[in-house]
Amino acid sequence: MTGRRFENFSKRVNERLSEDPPADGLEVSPTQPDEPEEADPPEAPEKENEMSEETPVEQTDAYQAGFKAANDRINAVFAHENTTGREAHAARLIGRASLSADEVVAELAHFPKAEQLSEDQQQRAAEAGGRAEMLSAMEEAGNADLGADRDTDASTSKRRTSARWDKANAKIESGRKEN
Amino acid sequence: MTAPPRPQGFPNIASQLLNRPLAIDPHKAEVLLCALQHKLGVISIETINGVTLEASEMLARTQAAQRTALARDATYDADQRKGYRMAGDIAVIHVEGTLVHKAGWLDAMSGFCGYNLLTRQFEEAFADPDVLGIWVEIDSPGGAVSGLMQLCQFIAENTQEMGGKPVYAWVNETAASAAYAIACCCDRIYGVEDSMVGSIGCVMVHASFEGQLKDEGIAVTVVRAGERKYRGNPYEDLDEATLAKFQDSVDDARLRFANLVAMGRDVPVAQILGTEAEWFEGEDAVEQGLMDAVTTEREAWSRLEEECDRIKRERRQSR
Repeated sequence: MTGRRFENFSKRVNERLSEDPPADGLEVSPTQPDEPEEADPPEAPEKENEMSEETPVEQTDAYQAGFKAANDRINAVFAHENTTGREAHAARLIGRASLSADEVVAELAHFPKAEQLSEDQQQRAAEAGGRAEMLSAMEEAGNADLGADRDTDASTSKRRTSARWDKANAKIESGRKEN
Repeated sequence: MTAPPRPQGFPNIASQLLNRPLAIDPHKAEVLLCALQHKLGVISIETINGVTLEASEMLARTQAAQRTALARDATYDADQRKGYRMAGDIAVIHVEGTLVHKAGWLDAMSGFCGYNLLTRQFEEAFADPDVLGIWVEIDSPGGAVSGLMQLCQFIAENTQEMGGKPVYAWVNETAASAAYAIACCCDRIYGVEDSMVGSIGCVMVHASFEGQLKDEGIAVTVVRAGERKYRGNPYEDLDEATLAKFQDSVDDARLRFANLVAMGRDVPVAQILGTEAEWFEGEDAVEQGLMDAVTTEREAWSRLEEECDRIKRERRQSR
């Protein structure tokens, strides 16, 4: 029995990766030694949202104009004094394409302004929120409670240890089922 | 006439261990540094787990590794004077311990296994008319990159699929890194549920004593002719250019390793690189395409025996 498995061993082991490796993983070299090298370097791949050179000029202009108009509309809304304290409402109204910037601003005037918090209050609120989130995550994960006021009851510790193992086992089980 | 093996000194070992690309399990690299602490001047090491080991602790690790090495079975077949043990028509070649380019006399004492010795064993087994199949018993965390690809190429090009003899790898219990490179060249890879394979990547270790020497009041001056001369030495911290060069070296070794595995296991090279040098056990390894099956040693051995029997039948029929 003879096969092609290890044919051209040295050449294939020393192949370089192309930018976009093909699915079969073997023909990874963009140039082969027995092929003539191209005079010009390969062109860079097109960026997303970038129009190709073949796109008609009028389409390119329309695209650029539409892009600018959308940006101008958003900037006009957020620069208006009616938006201050009503940013969340403004973001929601901007999503309605049928409303112009002026209409959005006029609509915003009917909404109550959010309570203005001082910088210190905002900082404290953010920290409190972060602590609550962390404690919630720790509780969910069954992490050890190492605080000075921790629950020292042995059964609690055992329950938490079991919870971690249960979680690990569940993860393994779900992985096996998926496979 | 074959020249006798030359003893390899500790400077030679240091040159292979430090500042060289290694395809090895990182924990084994720690054991090696522990074993050679006195000879290489290693005062203490910081392990992967962040624990600093002093001399006595390193010695304890070394002794544990040494006991394992000495407990290995002898591979020499004294009765038939072959460089490997024979079981019926099958030659048994052991790939165990840390793999190095030139093991020399360190084989028995340190758990080293040299590519030079393995090459001789495979050469003899492929040429031996008594040998119909080769059983490669693997338990190794890997080792040096130097010399690895030559051995892999030799095995690969003489496998049954390439017109040679059937070569079956039995993972008992680890075929990581360089050891897996050898395994993936075999016709089949079998192991048990706990068999560990993979770690398809490359690592390099650089030790700098610059800070320690400075603390002890020792000034080392490197006088170099040629800006790049003696870069990466242990008396100076790594400069950016040398670090980049080391990184290129390990990246290159990793890619060649991935190409080898892709070729041997018929798995896309992107998938191999995507493992990020992770190791896999049992069925996970089979799912990744890194092992053929999880089975018992007896079953895997039977499959090789059946293959040898088939070859014998074909030979008889062709006469």
